[in-house]
Amino acid sequence: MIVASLFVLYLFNNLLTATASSQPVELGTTLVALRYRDGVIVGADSRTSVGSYVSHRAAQKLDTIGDYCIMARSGSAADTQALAVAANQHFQARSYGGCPPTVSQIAHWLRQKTYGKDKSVSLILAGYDPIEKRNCLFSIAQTGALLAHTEPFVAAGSGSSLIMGFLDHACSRELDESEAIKLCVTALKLAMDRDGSSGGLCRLAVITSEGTRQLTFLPDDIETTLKIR
Amino acid sequence: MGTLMASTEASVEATSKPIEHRFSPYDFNGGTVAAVAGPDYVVVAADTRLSSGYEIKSRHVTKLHALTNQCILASAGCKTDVDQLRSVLDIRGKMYQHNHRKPMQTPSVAQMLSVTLYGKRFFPYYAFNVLAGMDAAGVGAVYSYDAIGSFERTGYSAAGSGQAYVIPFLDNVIGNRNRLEEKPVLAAQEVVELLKDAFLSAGERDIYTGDQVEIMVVTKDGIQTQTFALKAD
Repeated sequence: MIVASLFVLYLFNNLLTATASSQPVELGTTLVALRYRDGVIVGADSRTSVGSYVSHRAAQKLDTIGDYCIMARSGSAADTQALAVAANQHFQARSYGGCPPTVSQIAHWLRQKTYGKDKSVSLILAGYDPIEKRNCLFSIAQTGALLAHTEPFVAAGSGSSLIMGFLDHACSRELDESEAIKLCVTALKLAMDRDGSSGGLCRLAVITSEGTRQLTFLPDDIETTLKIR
Repeated sequence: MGTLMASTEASVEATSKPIEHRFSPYDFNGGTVAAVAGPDYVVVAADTRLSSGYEIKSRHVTKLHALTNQCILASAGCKTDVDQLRSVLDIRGKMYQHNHRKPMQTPSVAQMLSVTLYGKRFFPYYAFNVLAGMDAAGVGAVYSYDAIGSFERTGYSAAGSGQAYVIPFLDNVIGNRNRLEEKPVLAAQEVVELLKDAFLSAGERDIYTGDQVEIMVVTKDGIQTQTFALKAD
């Protein structure tokens, strides 16, 4: 009886002594990418957490790779940042040969870097293929599975499961740019309000045949574009 | 505490280490509470979010409980233990009132809470408490507790998941630490505004704190309540 009670105290103690050093820096995250009439839009929240502490509340989870591709990161902050740097270095060197990389090439290269490795990485690749002249959506899951998406949206990260039904309903017809931006921000806000590891700002990137541009919004105010780097 | 959707261990490690499954009687439901004592008032504040793991279970659950009309118990931790603790204290308070023909004074409630918590020393209430009320002399009193009943009267206190973000701020603004000016005497409404700021900051940096703050001001005339909105993310 005493042994059982002391053991309960031990369990209790474990809950109290989870220190920051025993927890990784995680991009808990909600990532959303949508096709719209002129291209693709990809959006992310801005919360980086260490356990229950928000270590960065205005993080930038969207990285550009080349002129026409955006990589949206979730999982381990360290692992995904290292990947983004490696991808940029690799594809910049390749582009000196005169041929810009396609989203598909970038996605397949990233998969090789993550499959079978002890890395916690889950990515969305969104962009415009300048050779075949079409928009692409790829995702790489934690397992390393690469999927080329033909459907109108992709969502990833811990907050994504909360908004799948919403996106199924909302993406039933083709959208113009402002509708797509509104939809992306709304989806992110819904996930951010329910997922503990998502929150903060909505970071968006719009990719068309002309290139990429990045936007930042407060979830409650999409009339004002913030300039927060 | 919740875990993220997929473990970082690759499939190789899953078979090489034994995995132990065990029932845990505790869950951490999050949230932050804080209290500040003044010369003739005490202000208590608590957020209203109830979480479990990475989910929000409710945005509108109170962490404040008035044990008498001069004494409030603010508790964060495991909701079921907090509820049971409140029940037990209410019953003991009622018995006291029957036996002594008057409600318990705050210092007595403070001692009773300590004794009640220590009574479960070997299977503790997972409750992090701050007791706030008017003492026998009509001066504001704040008592801080640990989970097994050790307590101390302090000028201000905070507990729960956002404790580490609120206390240093109160150290500076209420305790006058690292300041060169004279310590000012603050009115109750000024303290209310300071606590709103403290919870805004805690809400930004702690995933378990948010939605709404409930603020109660206790004076000799009783308890007044107000609410203040926080971000929902």
